[in-house]
Amino acid sequence: MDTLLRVRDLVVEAGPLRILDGVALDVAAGRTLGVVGESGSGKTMTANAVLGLLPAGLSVVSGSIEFGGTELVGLPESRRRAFRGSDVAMVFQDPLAALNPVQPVGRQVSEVARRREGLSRAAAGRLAVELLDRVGVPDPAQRARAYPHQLSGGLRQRAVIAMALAGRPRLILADEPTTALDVSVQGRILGLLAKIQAEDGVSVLLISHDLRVMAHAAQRVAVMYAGRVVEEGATRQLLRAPRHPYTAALVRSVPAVHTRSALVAPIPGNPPSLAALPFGCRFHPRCPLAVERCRVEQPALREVGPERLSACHRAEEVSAA
Amino acid sequence: MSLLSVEGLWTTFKAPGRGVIQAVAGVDIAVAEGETVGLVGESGSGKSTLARSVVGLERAGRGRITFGGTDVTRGWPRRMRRDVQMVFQDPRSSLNPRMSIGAIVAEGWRAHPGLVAHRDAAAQVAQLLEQVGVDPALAPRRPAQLSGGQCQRVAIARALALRPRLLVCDEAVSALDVSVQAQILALLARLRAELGLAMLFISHDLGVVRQLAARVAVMHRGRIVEEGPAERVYESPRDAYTRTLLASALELD
Repeated sequence: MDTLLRVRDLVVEAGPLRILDGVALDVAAGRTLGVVGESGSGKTMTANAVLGLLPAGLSVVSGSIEFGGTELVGLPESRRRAFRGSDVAMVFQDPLAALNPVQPVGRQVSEVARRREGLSRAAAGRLAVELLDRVGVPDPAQRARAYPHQLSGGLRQRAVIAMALAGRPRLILADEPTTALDVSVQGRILGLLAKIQAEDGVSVLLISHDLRVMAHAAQRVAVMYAGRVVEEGATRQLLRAPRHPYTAALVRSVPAVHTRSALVAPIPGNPPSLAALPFGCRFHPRCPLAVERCRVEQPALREVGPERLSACHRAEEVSAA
Repeated sequence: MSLLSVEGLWTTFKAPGRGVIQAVAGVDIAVAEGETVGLVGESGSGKSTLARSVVGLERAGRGRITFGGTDVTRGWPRRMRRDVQMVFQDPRSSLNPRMSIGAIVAEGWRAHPGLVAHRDAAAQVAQLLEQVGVDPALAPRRPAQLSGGQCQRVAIARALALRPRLLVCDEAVSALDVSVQAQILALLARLRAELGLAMLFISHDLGVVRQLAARVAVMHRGRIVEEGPAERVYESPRDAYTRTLLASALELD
């Protein structure tokens, strides 16, 4: 399968702090890669590095970000901007922040289409209504004239997705796209992303703290912890039989809705601060499987099965229970 | 006999340009001594307003709220205020950033001077921090020096310091990382057993509520559309909205 986005050995630093430490990811063409992790794990910084939008003070120190065969690290800002404007579209947690509050949403969708396709205003307007219809906005012609504040959270996020589609991107970068939405809407937005991906063959880099989101919308998942990828694999296998103790703990932390099962806090402690990272494996102070080797030697991401990577010295001994 | 009883409660707001909003529109709910009642609903359902009305942070319009048989609809008598304590979603904004966590835990005692003798205060703070799983040596630290999970433990210790009979948790684990969320849920379950606490546990997350609640009430547009034993509501929901909510909840598999 063709790889659209290939990240290798990515290191991002903020002064003395290493925010990302050798991150490697592959997003296949027409597939969804989920990146899951808790706060501070580096999942959003990975996305920002891909976009070339790292906050002030942070920089890519080494590593490679290849998109469709082009190396993005070291490209001049003008070309990075062109990449952001055409090849990638972004969907964030808060649709209100992504929308212009004083412009009707249809107009915002059509502006993107005009920039991309050089359409006439009327043609772009028709395309905007079509796109709003496609992303499931009811009465699209009428809703196109609505301002963001007149729409519900779910409809706003659909409008943002319509805007993303108007640019005909090759990659959609969705960072917590459902986290701020109501429970009854989350699944539908994830379903919409999956439908678009299947129809358009667009790739999706889906970032979330929520494994349930991954289970519904990603074919593969990379699990991040303290600035590193600790496990990667096909979603179903990774959730059923984790090969890293941290993934296993995350899986066991998710409270079930449809079955009654008492949650036992699976791991003690908190994710480490990047200013005080433990020596050896970064997870070892919270790990039930930690042995002496884990305290002294940082495990590398290695193949532990077909298309399955784990950064654990004891990956073979991890059990789901 | 209910510890907390809410009957026909209405809480309304005047919204500029939009008239009167009925956030809570005729709600009955009761919590028995030592019982945990889960309140689920989506944003705007009125669940937080209901909680805030119960503890006296919002003025109840119509209806009646009683606690241990005393009518508290128009306000809680001073001596009873410690009986109900609240834990909020964002531990950082609910803790005073200028105070040490030790002082935060002890603060409530100033309003209830009979509760803990001055000379015992430091030892009591240490014991409370230990009870919620925070190293008592951290007492001089400020909230910003603690993780989100530790701050939420401090918020729980502050609530427990007043020896409440009812703990109202409003999305108390929603902002936490999942591994930390599991820890706080386990902590709440343990404290409830140890202290015989009653809880009104509010969350939009049906899985989280199922972990703790013996009874569940589902709120939608200011009303409770279904209420019953948790097992019954989750396994055979009667209300159409409850069914939609359950059907749309994301699961791992």
